[in-house]
Amino acid sequence: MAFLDIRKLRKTYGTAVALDGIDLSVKEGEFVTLLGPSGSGKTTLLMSIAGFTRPEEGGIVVDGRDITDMDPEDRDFGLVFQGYALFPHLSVADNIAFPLKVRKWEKARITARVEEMLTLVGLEDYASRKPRQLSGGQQQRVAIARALSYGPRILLLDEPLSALDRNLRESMQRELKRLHQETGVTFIFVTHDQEEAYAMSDRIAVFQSGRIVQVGEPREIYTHPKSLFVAGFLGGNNIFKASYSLADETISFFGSTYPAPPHFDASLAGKDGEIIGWIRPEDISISDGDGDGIRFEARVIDISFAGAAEKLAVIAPDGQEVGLTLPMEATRDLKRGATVTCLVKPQNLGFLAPET
Amino acid sequence: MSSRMSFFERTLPRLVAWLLLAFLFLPILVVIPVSLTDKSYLSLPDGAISFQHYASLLKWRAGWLPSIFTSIGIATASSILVTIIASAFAIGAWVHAGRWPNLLRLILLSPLIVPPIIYAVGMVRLWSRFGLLDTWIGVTIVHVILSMPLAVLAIGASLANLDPRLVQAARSLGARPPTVFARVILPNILPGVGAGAVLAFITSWDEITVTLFITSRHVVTLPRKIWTSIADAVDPALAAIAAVMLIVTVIALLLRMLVWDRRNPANR
Repeated sequence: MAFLDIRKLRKTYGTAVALDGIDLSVKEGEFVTLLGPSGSGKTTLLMSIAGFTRPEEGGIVVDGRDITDMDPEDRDFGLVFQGYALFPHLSVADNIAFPLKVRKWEKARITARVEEMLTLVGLEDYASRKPRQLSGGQQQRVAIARALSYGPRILLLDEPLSALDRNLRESMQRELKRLHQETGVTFIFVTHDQEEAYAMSDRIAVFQSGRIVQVGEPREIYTHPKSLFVAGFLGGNNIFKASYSLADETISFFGSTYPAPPHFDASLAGKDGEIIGWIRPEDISISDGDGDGIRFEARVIDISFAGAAEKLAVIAPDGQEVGLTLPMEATRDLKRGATVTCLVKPQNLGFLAPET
Repeated sequence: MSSRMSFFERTLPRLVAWLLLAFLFLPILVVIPVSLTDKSYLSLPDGAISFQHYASLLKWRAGWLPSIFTSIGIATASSILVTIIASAFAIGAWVHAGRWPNLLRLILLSPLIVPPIIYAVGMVRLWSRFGLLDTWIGVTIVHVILSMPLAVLAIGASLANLDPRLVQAARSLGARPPTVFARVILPNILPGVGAGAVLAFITSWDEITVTLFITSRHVVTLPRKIWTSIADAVDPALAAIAAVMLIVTVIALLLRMLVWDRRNPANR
């Protein structure tokens, strides 16, 4: 049985449905990310697990015990906020000691644990500072240390890295991963940033309008999106319209017709053969004549420099826009308005039913 | 040329500032010589200085001492009540932000908007029905209502800088509501609560308009006593009590500057 079991959770605010029958099982020690755009219900679910939001239907079971109606202070779940929510009047050490004092630990034990936590997050020299004397990254480390100090069963993190700048965010991601491995605590992490989700999670639950539309390991979600939303929201895939012909087993898109690839599932196609295709920008290359696969002519409408790579926008003969991510040397001689031959390996094409 | 410039840019603004300060402060200082008069009516001392009016303040029968105690008692009681109620309201409104707290805040602030004289007329009718005219409780309740707005504003201001998620953070760390209040909220808003208590005390200590209407012989607060002594006889003891209050205020301000600013050098 799962460690944390969420069953058919439902929560509405007036006419807005925040959680529309959420089911989710989490194993002990797992790092699960709730990923979705703002307003998709991920934070509402986190707050329901924390006990600050009361669901109208459904239940939450931890370790075989129903905690749906338990007060937040009895749940023993750590909670980390985007805005840190450190106690401004207490020093770093006193912030970390707060949950221990509430639990009436002995003084010597508190001192030892605070020191241990400060070492864990690398803030040994900041014990007597006040939160406002620390940088954002340091404050977030204190918040994490405070939430972990008493040994919670689950750590809930509500977009904890969103307020940090990009470099700091990446180092904090590694730090969180390390803390997760060292403590073995179950992490439930909320974010709208798919890269963050890919970088840290054991599993990702993708949210859309109050529902979980797909749960899986990061690679699986990336390579096998089950719906148009997942395919589009994650990784910025190219989504395009295509049509399938049952008679000769071909698929037409970008103004040409190709034989259906072996992995193609004909049952996805609509009654008139309409189907949605997707392809990742980095899986399209530019051909100088030879090369096997699906090829189509397209006109370059934009080239933009993106650091390690070059981003190209092209328009296919049927008018659909396609984005490409290419290594710098491949675009050296390209200009806007030029016609290029794009090459795609058939196995990199993905297909989805049109109504999703 | 340059001296004219410096006159308009430097000397004149300074002169105006000092004149304004003098205009604010000198009329207050005039009570000191008047309180030392040797006559039995309000006047400047002519020839001799006398402390007889200070001595008369200390005579219980003269009524000044009882009314000082009455005022201190009512101001202390209403200040404590106001601080408790205003803190409870401000914290509640801070935690549950929304339409109802805002509406309630408006109602609580209404004594600031309604002219006291209108309010006084209403209170006379209400208190006569409840039998609270000329009672300690009646005056205290009125003072609580009148000083509530300032206390709510002072405490609300100190809460405005505090992240409401501190409550959630504290609860998730295992703190029950009383602990959250005592260990997290109160330490952060203590300056605001202190300011609210002082403002409430001063409002009650000063209050005359409504008090005049709802008291007669039984409850005589200091402002009421001053009022009646002006109406009956122009007793220089009036100037003596004003001088005493002035000196107490100045000492309190000096103490605050010395103690508080030394403790928080950053505030300078």
